[in-house]
Amino acid sequence: MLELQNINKNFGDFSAVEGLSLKVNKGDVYGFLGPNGAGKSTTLRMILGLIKPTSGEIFFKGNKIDGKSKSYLKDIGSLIERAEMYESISAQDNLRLLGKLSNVPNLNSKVDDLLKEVGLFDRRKSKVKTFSQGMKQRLGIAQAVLHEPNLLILDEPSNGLDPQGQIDMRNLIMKINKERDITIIISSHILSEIELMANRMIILSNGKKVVEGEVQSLLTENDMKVKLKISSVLNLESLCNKLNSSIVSIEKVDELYEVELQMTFQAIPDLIAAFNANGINVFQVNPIRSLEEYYIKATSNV
Amino acid sequence: MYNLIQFELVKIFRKPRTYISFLVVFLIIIAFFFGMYYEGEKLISFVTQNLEANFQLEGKIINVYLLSYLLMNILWIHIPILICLVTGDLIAGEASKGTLRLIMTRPYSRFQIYLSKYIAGFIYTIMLILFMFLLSFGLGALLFGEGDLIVIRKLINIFSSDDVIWRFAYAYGFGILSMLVVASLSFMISSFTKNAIGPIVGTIAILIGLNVITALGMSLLSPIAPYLFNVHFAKWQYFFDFDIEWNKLYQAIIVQLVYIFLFFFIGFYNFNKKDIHT
Repeated sequence: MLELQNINKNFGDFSAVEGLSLKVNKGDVYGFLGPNGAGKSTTLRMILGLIKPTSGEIFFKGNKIDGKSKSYLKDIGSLIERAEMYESISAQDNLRLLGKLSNVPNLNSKVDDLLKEVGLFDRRKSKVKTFSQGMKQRLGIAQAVLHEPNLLILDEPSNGLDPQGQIDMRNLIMKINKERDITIIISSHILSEIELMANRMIILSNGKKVVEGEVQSLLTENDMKVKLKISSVLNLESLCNKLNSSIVSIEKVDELYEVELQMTFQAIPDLIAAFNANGINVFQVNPIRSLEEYYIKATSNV
Repeated sequence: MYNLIQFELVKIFRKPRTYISFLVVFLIIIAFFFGMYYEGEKLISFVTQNLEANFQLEGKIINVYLLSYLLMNILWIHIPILICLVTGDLIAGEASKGTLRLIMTRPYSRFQIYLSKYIAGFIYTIMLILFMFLLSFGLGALLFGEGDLIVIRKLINIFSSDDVIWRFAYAYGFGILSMLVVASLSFMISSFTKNAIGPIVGTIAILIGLNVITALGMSLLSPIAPYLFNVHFAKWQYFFDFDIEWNKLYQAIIVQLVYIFLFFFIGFYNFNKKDIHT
């Protein structure tokens, strides 16, 4: 669907994106992760033609984006950061005007259907300036999918939303992905959100790719921490060595031991079996590995 | 392209600030007519007292044509500010509000987007001046009626009422061209800045600066003075001479057209290469 090959973007002496290559497949929900200034927004803006790459190539549906023709944008919808719409115009008219620009057929009925889908139909006649940020973001999603694009680019769509708003936004995005069969690229600071939504992801730091791949494999194949509550620490070290894990900390709490181990996710069943075989009772297993931990670790190594 | 122009026009005419310009023109004309209705005779007799010593003046001196002529002199000073309010906002205002990317991510080239905004800005400018034309003539005819037009220029020119309409039409046409230069200038500045204040202040500063320089008649500038756009703004008055200096008017039209294209291309060059961060 989309491929970036060795993309670089310099602002004067500052290198915002450096040698970035990535591939988004059809049907993906592709997560963009990285701390502030990692180059996420710059990359997404380069895909949309808002920012011109210093060098490198972008391919969309197999065709090279040359920076002059913008016809490829008819198949891309986007919501970049905050959804800024025309404030003195109603939600319905905003969508109708933007839909007209994209020559959307059956525009009026499509606009009303979309407003219902994003929960704004009752407020369709209200001017956008009266909307909360959450409502604006939902309207932003509506304008992004109005012309039925193949690819939807969402740059931090949950920014500025309260927790309920974030959940609503997440559900809406997942619904769009499933029901409309749209490939989605989403960047977010809310890492758990990416973990919940994306099937593939990239982590950027200082404009460079740290890692790219399947979310599940990135989460499970790497070292993680597991907290256990066990009855004894007898022979713990030798057991851990056999399973290629290491002890991070041991603390006695009441009659039990709280142990933190560094290990792989796949080794957990073997570890529990080994403990049982050695007469160590396991009362609690808490894998504390999260994408956030992985992300912090990955970006701090660049 | 038609969709883009329509889109830009809807945005312009849905913004309250657009109507500030029309309101200001309306208020100035009303205030001027109100003053002339009650104090006009006194004011005009002060101006024409020397004439009355040698000539017998008959008919209505204060009529729609005289007032429209006087209004044109007054309003050309204020109109540029009112034009900048909207044309200066077309790119910079959208950039500051973050809505520029809404259009830039549609399947239109930057040239199409830039040109559509330019055309929409021109349409607004022309509409504002036509509004001034219609209001001053409509209301003036209603309140003061017709009559001959007396214009004091190098000579005292007296035009019969059937000889003035075409002169006003040409003068307004020329005035529209001058105001399109202003619109182009503020639009060009708008492509360089990220807030709408910049183009307004920038355009007014350039106009005032050029007017001061040319008014002072700096000898160093005299060779280039005919090529400055501001010196041609007042040449609509040439249409109220019996011997119209067409050559000077053609030169003024060409200079102003060159500036319109120059501002267009400088602005587009910048707009085309700029990165949209907002």
